Amino acid sequence: MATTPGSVITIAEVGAFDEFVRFARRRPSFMVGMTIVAISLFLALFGPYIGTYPTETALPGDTLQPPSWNHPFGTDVSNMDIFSRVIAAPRIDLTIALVSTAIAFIGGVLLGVISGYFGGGGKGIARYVSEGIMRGSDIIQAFPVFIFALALVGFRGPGAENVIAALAFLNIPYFLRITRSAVLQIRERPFVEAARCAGNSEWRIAFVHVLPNALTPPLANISPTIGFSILLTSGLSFVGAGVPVPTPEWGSMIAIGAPNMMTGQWWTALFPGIALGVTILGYGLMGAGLNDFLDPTKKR
Amino acid sequence: MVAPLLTVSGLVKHFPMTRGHSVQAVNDISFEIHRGEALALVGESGSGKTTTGRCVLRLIEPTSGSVRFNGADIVDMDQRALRAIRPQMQMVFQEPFDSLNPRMRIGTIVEEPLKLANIVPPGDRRDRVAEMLRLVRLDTDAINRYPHQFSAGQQQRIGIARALITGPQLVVLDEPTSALDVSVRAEVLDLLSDLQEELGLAYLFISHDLTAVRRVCDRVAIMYLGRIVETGETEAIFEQPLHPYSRALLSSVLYPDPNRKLTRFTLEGEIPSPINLPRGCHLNQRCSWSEPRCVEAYPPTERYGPGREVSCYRAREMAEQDAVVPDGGGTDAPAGA
Amino acid sequence: MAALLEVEDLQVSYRADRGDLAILNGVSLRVSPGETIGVVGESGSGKTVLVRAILGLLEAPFSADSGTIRFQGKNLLGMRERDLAKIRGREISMTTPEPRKHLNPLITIGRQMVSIIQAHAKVPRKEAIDQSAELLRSVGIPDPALRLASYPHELSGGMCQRVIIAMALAHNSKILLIDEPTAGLDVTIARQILDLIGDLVRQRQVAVLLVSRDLGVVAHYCQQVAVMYAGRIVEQASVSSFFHQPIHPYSTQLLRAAAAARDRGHAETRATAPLLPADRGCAYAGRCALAQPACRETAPALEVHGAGHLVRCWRSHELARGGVAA
Repeated sequence: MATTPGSVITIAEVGAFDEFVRFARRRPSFMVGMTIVAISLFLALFGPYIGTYPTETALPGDTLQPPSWNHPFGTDVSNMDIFSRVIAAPRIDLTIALVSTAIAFIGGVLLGVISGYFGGGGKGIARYVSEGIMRGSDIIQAFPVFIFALALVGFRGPGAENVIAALAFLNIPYFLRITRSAVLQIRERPFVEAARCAGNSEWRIAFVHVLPNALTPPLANISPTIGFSILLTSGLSFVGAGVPVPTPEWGSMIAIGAPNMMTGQWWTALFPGIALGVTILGYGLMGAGLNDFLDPTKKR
Repeated sequence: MVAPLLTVSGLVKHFPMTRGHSVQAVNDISFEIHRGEALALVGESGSGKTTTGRCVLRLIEPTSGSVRFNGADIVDMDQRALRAIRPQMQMVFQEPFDSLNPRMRIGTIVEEPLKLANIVPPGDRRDRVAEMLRLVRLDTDAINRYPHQFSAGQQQRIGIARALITGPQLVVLDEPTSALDVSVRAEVLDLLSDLQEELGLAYLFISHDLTAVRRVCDRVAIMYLGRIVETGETEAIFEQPLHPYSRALLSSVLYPDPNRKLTRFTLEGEIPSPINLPRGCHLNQRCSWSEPRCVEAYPPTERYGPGREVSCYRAREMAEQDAVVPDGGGTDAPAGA
Repeated sequence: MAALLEVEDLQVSYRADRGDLAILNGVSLRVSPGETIGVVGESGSGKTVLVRAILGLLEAPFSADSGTIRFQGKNLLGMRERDLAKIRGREISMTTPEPRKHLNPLITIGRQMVSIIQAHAKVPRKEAIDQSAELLRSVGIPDPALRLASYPHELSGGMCQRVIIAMALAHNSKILLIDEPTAGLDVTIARQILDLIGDLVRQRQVAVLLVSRDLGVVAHYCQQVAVMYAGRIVEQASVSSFFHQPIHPYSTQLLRAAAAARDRGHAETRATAPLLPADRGCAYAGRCALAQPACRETAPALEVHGAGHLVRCWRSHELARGGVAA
């Protein structure tokens, strides 16, 4: 215990990392989520190289072989090894999900700060802009997500970039609202008034003072949004509007394998389906856990 | 006679509400603060003291009236001119932790007003920050830490350092010790007193804590429902409050000394809402000296000696009755009432 | 006079990730009818936890580990919830520092008071309403009928506190636990509330435990005072002895800080150590100007200094004699 005047007191003598580790250990679901996410990232980077068989070319031999030592997940109707394709798929799914979420995050947060800080009874132009942003966001969120995604992609044609664009566009309102509501609360706090007193311009207050404090809610939502984006991508690919066919992608693999399930080849759609479900679950669990960790009001 | 540093004239602030009502927070007040002088604004909830403080710094736009700082009217200035003046007039806030940006390091927080004011070259700024921290009796290794790592008393001192770094002439202190534990209050108040002497600061000290006020301020203005009811030197007012509200306020102070008898002058009833102000003198419903003329019109401000002003029709009468019936500090009701 | 409530060696801990934190570390107190004992301490000293422990309102992660709370010969600690519920609000009542928060915002005051009356007595509704009006009158609320029909948000802070006090008196409780009755109230209103409490205590001869951070309140409205620091009582005495000659260094510091000095005293700039009970030694040692090596080794016990004056300090005898300036 320090005794010199003005020295710092810390109740926690351990660093933030140790606290995180301790937190994680007490929440098995969070650990599971983190593990799944880690695996998915690993596969995104190295998946295509791990599989023993090429992921986009048909192999000679019988099609639709059931699971065996050679082919742990069996082969599909074009005699491509399902296992290699399942572990290669994260690359495209995650790339789309991460990039689109990043764009949505940045766009949503910026717009959220502007509309939250300057809106609601502010002066002149800023207020109209903020209202405009909110109404635009309302319009986008009025449509069912999947239909809207389908429409956007249908407009520009399938392909990874278009899926990214569509998802980014659709997720912006979500981050926007979360950020805006955080900003609305923060701007009433005394340190904002203190910043004004210190001579900050309103713009500087919005971006230097308020924004960093409003990041926690949107950050906590990145993980579930990634999971949801993976689901959407797969859904779009399932109906043929997403990633074009030879590229390994869980949704399209499920689409290809679905008819086969009727005829008894259960492995063709099942494994990609499980991979998809587990991955989304993983991102969801991690998101929930992170939310608890970052929330200062929850007792730990 | 040197011109005052701050002159507030006819300040009014009404907050509009729905259906034509408004919260009449500040209702025509005027006062002056001279260089190096500490004036307290004392009152309870609804008195308008906090709103006044913010109007003086123009953190809220006054409804009408003028606020002259060093001769220039702040209320009329544009945003740029106002920002140019900010280094001269700063504020210390009530909430020690919440007035600091939780994600910024102390060094950055304290440096910011200096940086924005651009009065000192960048190289020297850090030195100034260290100097300020030393001045408020904090360790300079606080620079790299975050607000949550400090106690409330220390956080408040950081706020003081931030307020003083640009060398302001006027500091508005909004209940600077209300959120602090009693044992820490004394330290912070002594610090504020010392700093005032050392740096020749003028204070507008807003508080409901009369003990704190007595420790730090030379003069006191007592507010009730948006008006100043009495002004005077601190000791003079504590010794002999003239306005009935001042008497009630002062007799409510509980000194930690069981031998000091409690005086009996308390007011009946609740504080009226600033939305529905009573006509005439705002105290008339609760005051046992109230007469018909108290309801008709707000009493004029009368002088009771140098620097002493009271707004009450019967203050003189009450003072005379005190002299006849000394009571240890206040009479309940007019003699023969 | 026999004590109505006796707390003996109460230990309450808080289960945190890092281990257990002792919040109340062996607290003992007694309260007798017609007497008000003031419990003084800064935030974190454990005062509110004490009140909640007495009424059995502690929830995880707090837990009352050992000690006894004796009321009418029975130990409240470890009593079944069913039996505690009969005592709460009837024999022992409490008030709160945040009266408005403890009133249901969606229900009128009248309905809330009636439900409190009917919780412990079979009283028909009409009669309960009359009783409620009478209770409100007895706490100085004019026009009770209007207030009974009002909602909490329509009442001022002072009035909410009066309502809470009225509720605490609904069943003529023998013991009142009054927790910071003037927190957040304006000075003139606070004075009204305190005078009201004083009058009620005298009229009804209840035993009162008054928790406060304000030594002024204690000086004028209590007969006994117990000073708490980091979960322990460090000094306990009659109000006159305490203010005449406080012994414990913390008490002296509190008084100095609170005194409305005309000349500015020099408040010590001691470090503010966190209010955690030390693992060993006196919890106050980190802040104490008079701390000696022995103080950091072993925690002192309560010792008697004259009639009913208890002090927990290794140097208490020196201080009592006035040999050391604290």
